[in-house]
Amino acid sequence: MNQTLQCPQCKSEITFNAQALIAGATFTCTTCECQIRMSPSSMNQAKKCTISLLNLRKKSLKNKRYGKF
Amino acid sequence: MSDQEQYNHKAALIEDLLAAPFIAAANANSKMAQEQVRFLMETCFDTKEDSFSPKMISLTIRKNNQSETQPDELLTFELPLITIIPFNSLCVKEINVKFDMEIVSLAPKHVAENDETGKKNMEMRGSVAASKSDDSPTQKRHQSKMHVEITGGTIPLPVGLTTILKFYSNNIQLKS
Repeated sequence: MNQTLQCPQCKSEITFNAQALIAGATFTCTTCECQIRMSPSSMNQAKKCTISLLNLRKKSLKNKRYGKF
Repeated sequence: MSDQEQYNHKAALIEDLLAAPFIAAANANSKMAQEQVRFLMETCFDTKEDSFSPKMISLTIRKNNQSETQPDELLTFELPLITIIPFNSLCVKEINVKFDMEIVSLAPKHVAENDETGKKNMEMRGSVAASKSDDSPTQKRHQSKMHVEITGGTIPLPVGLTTILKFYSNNIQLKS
């Protein structure tokens, strides 16, 4: 799913994919052509969060399937 | 207890019968929302005594310099982790309920003695219809069948949460 982020340089919107960003992809602002990417120091924290969210989704789907909700 | 009374006892109020699938879906949504909030607080916020502060992640921005002699500028900015995680996906998106219902009784609604409005509302009771093969000729005489189709959907992300996310996004500052 694509999301948008305000460019800190020119304030226009940069479209990015969260999973790709967390995986280390670079996204370019179409107006000022600056490139954004996640700092290596934050990658682990973001990856942990994504894994937790995926587990939560799996758990929720499993509960729905077995009628626990 | 007569046979008719026993049958009425099994039946539910029509409004309760129609609302039941929605209540079930709402309860499911509520449980998922609770899980989501717990996840959000544990994963995206740091707890400091009684307050919560958002966990920040840093992004680097590379600004291309026009001249070839100067190196590209590398800047860092921080934004809350919550802004890049798509949260609004854990919910019952749509419910479609189809069932046959039979009205098993129609009686005056119980009105309190001190009610002076003089209104005499009717109360309908029904139950989920049995399959056609189960219908006995005696039951058919007293019942009226209805086909019910209910469709429900979810509303977008709450305005409050959207505002918080927008507030965070609009306050991205360059750090260095």
